[in-house]
Amino acid sequence: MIDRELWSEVWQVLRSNRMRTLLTASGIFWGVFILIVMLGFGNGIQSGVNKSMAGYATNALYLWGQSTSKPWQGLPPGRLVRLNNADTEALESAVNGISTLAPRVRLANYRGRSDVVSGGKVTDAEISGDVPAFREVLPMTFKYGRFINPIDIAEKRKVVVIGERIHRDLFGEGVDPLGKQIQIRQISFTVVGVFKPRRYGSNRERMGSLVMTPLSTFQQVFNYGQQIGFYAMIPEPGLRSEDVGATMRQLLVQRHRVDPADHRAFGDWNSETEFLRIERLFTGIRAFIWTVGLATLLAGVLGVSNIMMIAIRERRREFGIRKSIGATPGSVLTMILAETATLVGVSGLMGLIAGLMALLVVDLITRPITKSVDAEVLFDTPTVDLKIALMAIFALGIASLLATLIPARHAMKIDPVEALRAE
Amino acid sequence: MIDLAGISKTYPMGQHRVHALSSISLGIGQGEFVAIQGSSGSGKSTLLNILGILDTPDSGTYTLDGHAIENLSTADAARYRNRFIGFVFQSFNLIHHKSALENVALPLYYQKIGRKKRNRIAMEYLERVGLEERAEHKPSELSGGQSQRVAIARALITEPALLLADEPTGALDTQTSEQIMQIFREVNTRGMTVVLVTHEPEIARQAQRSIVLRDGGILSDQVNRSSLT
Repeated sequence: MIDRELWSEVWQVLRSNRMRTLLTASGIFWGVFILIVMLGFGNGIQSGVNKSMAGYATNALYLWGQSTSKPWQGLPPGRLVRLNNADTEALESAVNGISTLAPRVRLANYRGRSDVVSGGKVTDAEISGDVPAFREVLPMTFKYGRFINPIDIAEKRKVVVIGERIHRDLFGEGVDPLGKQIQIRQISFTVVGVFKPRRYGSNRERMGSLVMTPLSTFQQVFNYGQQIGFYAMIPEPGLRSEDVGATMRQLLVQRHRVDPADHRAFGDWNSETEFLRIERLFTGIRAFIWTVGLATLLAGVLGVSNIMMIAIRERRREFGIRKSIGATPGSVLTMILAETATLVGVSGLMGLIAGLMALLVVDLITRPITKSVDAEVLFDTPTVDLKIALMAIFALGIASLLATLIPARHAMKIDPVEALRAE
Repeated sequence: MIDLAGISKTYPMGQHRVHALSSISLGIGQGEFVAIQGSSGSGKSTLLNILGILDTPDSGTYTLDGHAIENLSTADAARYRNRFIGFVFQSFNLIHHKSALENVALPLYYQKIGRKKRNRIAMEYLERVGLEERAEHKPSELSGGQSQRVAIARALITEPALLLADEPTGALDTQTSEQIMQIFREVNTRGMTVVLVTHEPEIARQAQRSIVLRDGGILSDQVNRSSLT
């Protein structure tokens, strides 16, 4: 295939008609360029969104009690459904498919804050009672100390794990807070850890404002009795959190004497469904990008086919001459296909390089915004899978060759007598 | 060298078929210089195309240098043309984007001879037609006579058994025509068989043998006394 003679022949032909070569090449160049830039932007937006969603496990289900909306077994509607420790035990023993069950309880309403005090300094924090398993729901690392452990739970120790912002505001950055005291509602807790979520995502401030105590301690000191606020649950691998959540509901419905058809008695939120929805959105965006990109490329391919058709008509005489001095139909076909392959290959690669360079420029310009700590933009470094890009160009090459085959076959069949007669 | 037996060729013309050649038999020996004359429509171009394996007869047999030319695939026909036949056309038919040297070398490209070697050989042939100094010029920078000499060099480079010329001087003035005919005579003196189609009697007279066609048949076939002297 590597035939220097053929390539120098091809090179000469392409150079001899610069305008035509340039026009054909620019169609392919643009197609590839646009495809690459669009793919890059698609990936940039996707990784930006993923970054903003990061933090919690992507397949977690949250389940809480609300109030009944239907009468059941003589009980009136409007009854509050309160989850408790006995529910936790029942769920753990009776429901299959749960990988992690983390009961949680909060001091205030959803996302509500309370004051935490240490050494005369005050700040606001989101205070919760948690179990060691919560680490599976919110993957984290530790700057200082450790997370809540089973002994904390068993002994109802008054300990806390605090977020980075709390650490900074109460103790100052770089100060080891382990063993120091903080007060919540005038009750003292010992700091045993400063955590950092594995990925902050877009809610950095909130994550940094968490203060977590052992669930058992929390229930006792804040007079919550056996009460649980909600469950965070991660299903076993391969199971959908929605399905396991439904089983959980069934059990809780029985335990709390709720009409099974009463959908308002329990509330849930499912990050998996949310995640899948976004996934579907991106599948749609990708499909759109590929459709537009491939349509653009197809236009380029048709352009190649068109121009080769015209070029071959213009060069009828040349092919006639070549045939009269010994060019076989096969060699004519090979030459035309080699011309197309060279044209598409070179302009495709140039489009790829130009596309990548454009993405690099975009990245350099947007980097200060996208990489900043509190970035709320749904965009990150635009990337392109080079393997996919090269495959696209390869497919483009094949498509162009097929598109050229029709005019090339015509050239193969040129009758030298006819071609040379016309003057 | 050339043996034609009962060659016929018809072309469709509207609803009728026109006899371009009707049962022509003809023998041309090695080293002959033959002129084929005839008015337009006499079948001389068809005869030349058949001789040049550009066209196939409807019936009859054609033997060239001992090879039966029949039922050739298009690829085989191309190889035969490349090996046995050199063409010279009225309109030169040089490839415009190639230099004179590259035009001359092109038949060797189809013999898969390397660039260096074929350019060296092409230069020798350009010298033979006296155009070594114009080697790098494009056809558009050459005069008619020069273009035709380049075309002759291209026809000769494969050392073909048969040189076919179709009105080679038709586009040239008298003086240039004379130079071109001089080259043909030289080539012929070295032993190459030359068949030339012309409608100009003064050109035809320079061949050893003159064949006149009319209505697809041979009207006369005679030896030119003048050329023998």
